Amino acid sequence: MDIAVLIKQVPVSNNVSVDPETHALIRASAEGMINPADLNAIEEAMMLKEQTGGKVVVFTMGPPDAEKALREAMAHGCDESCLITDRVVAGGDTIATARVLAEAIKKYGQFDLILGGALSADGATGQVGAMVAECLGIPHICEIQSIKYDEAAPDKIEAVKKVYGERFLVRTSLPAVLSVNFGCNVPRLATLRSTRAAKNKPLAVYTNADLNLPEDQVGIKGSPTAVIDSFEPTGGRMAEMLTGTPEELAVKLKDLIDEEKGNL
Amino acid sequence: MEKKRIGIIGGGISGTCLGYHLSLYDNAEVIVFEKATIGGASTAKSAGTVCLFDDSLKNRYWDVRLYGFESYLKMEAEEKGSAGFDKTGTLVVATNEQVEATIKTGIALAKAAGYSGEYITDKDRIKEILPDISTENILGAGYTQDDGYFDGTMISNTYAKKLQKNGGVIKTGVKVTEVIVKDNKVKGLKTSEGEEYEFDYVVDCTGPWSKFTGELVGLDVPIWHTKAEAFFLCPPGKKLSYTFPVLKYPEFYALRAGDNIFICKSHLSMDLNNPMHAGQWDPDKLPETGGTDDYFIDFLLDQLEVKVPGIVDSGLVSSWLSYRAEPKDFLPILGETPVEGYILATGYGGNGVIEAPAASRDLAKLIMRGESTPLLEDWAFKRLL
Amino acid sequence: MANGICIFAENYNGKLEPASAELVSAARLIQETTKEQISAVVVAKDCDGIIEELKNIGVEKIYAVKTDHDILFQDDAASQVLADMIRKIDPSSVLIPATPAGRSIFSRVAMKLNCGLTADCTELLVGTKEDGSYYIKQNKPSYGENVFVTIVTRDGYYPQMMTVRPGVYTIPEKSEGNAEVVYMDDIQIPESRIEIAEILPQEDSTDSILSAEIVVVGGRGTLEDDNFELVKQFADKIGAAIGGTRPMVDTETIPFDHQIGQTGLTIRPKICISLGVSGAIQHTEGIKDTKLFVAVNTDENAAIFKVADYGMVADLREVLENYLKL
Repeated sequence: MDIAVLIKQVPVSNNVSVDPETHALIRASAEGMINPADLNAIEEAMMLKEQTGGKVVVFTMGPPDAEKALREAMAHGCDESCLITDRVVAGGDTIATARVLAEAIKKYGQFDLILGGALSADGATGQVGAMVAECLGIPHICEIQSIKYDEAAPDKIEAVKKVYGERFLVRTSLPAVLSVNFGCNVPRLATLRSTRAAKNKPLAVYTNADLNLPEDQVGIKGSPTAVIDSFEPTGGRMAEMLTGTPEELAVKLKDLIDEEKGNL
Repeated sequence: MEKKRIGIIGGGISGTCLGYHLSLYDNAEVIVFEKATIGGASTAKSAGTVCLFDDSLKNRYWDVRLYGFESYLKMEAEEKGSAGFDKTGTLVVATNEQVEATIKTGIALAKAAGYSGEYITDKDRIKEILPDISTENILGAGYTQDDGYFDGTMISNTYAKKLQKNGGVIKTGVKVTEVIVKDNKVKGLKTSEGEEYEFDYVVDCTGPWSKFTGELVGLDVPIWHTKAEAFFLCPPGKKLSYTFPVLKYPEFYALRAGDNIFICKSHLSMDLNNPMHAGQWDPDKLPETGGTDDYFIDFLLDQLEVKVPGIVDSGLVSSWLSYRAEPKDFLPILGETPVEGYILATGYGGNGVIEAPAASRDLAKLIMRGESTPLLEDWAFKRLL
Repeated sequence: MANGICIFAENYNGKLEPASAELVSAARLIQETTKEQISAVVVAKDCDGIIEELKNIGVEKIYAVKTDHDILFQDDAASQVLADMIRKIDPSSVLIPATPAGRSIFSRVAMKLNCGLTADCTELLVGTKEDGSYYIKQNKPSYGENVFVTIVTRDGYYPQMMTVRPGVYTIPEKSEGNAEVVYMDDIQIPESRIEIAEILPQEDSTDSILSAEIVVVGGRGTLEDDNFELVKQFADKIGAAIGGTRPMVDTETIPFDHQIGQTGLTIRPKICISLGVSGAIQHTEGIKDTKLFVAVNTDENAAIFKVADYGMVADLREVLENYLKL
């Protein structure tokens, strides 16, 4: 089974602030890492590869520096990688980004399964996977806890989906896109050796010239939505201090927990 | 007795330890200003190997090493966990005769102070202590069971608490923005909160930031940064079946961190003329994790394949980069400066946890009593002028 | 001309999801300025109960498609049906709960309609364009909760479509409603390639700290006396997994694979209650993206209060003893 994994390079630290005058984002550190849930997607891909053979190709769109994330993904076991990098496609919203990823997947080759992490640690939209599926005209299932492939039914895949406080066994035809939950498995670690080996694994670089998407379909120009302002939350980053007797504090704690539990 | 007001900039191991030693004097009024959290920056990234003998500090400074070690043992005895002691013992590997001689002297000193220590040439015994090691191409190894890892962040917080108990004040989340100097004499400082404080002495305990802190009084503090690149490794079997000791080679050192192994390129293998190793950077731009250079992977792989092949296929759990800050002779800068009342307690490099107690003891004496010590003479700022 | 505020009535087992009911409150705030009608789209096997619920919380018009089975798990089919409905209704805005179903179905709808989808809004405000027409300022958190951004749907793209974080708006008070109901019988329901094979039995998730939604984290303070026993009872009571800092691992109070921080794990629970943790970076780096983070510590200067949402300067023992009595 050939599997594509979509990953995103996210900042190591979400510690950003806003310039009070220009309203531009100021990042404390430029250091990037693979979005944590994407590592769970890579691990699912590796387990399926061990069962069925085939190859795992990891895709990302981003600045040239995103090569680091791809090399790291290959250190975790992915066989090949593809970086889509181009000023023209940069800055797009989820719609414009999904178009680019879908086109890159099509150009790269045939895949039986496409995996991604459920939510990114920075934007946390949880939308791109489903949008890629729509572009490719194939099914998408989110909130995946585990994936099972049965050789006896090679055109289908089974997965456990967790939603409404229940677990459902779902089945779909292939190819399909599955969005994998953070923490659903324990990703294997890269080693010193695999990190060195990843330096020599294939990395294809696509620009929009390779994808041939109309410029009004990608990047900022092709995005139906636009960010017009950014601001820091009021009240700063200090915890709101609650006071009272231990009895009162216990009640306050219970209220907070019960309220948030209602939203789970 | 006349009160002496002392403002300390920086709440890492240097600042909290000095603050505590000052607070032992009745007439000291101490305030520590920390812009983030206590023991949270370079101190938190320190490997914290406080060993009875290794190459981190020359045997000539045995008193400094012993005083540091025993200060933390005492702290740990007063309240378990307050110094974060992990008593794993230390194995120092001799790969050449020079190292062997240093180890042997160190062992003799440790034994004279009442601790255990032996130089082992029986390779089977070395393998008993560290089964994953390769004993080829080594002469022997020094071993003691008595020392190990101490947690710099825990220690800093414990010193901070003790200093508060003695009447000192800790201000976290407060950045010093200005040092007030009049007629070449320190008068006080101003903070990011807009407050102004009067002090007789202001002490720079900002380690990697000292270059910037010195600029507040127009002082060029000759601090360089060497990179401390560290990895946390998960052993191939997930959990080692033996107690992994602090392991020292001239090129790198390692210690256990829970079930993982922390491994770092050694201090003395850093080349100040290699821009990959050393420079003058902005520590505010250091990421909390990550940031290591690619060459470091190759370096570690090559080292481990030869020296500790049993853990070469460990998983990479996480990594970080920290700056050791020191002058070009790798020794700290303590004491007076050309600006009257502006004191330095910085440049500890990779040895802050080991050296801070003895250095602070002596520096407190200098500030409170005006008495210098041989150590302060050795590590004085004027040696660099 | 597109007009109206349309709400996606997410439903499960014949009941309206609370997160969808909350959207009516968001819509009413928009309506105060724009005076538009508030409508809802329902796709379900048992529409009647859901329609009743929508009527009673103030929805003014309800568009429904009855299906022979619930199709909201089948994104491919559901998104086709909903896209067709919205094309016909032609609203100026569509509000969707930021739930797994809302996100994944409407991501496809947005692509079909080429209209954009703003994720996880926590505040919707009305702005006025130069020509006097209205638009919605869609405010949402980014980079955890460190920054908020305002997003708009650009001119030429419509409807304005956004998901709204559950729990931000409250469910309107119930009242006797009188909404017009339109059954859109002409809408085709396509075959789905997704099937639900079965509902699986519940599993005990508190063993795995990584996937746990609720985590209690203990620090050195929990090692004193028999505090840890209290922590365990507390964790049981709220259904939480227990993690801890290094001192707890060193004393073998918790296993190493439950240590949190740089030398341990990074966890992303929805709810995190930290007890007696001072908060060195090695530890706070290990907890991210929480929705609720409460810290209890006796030291008012503890660094943990800089990362938590709520803080209590208190003896954890006293708080927990009282909590267990509640």
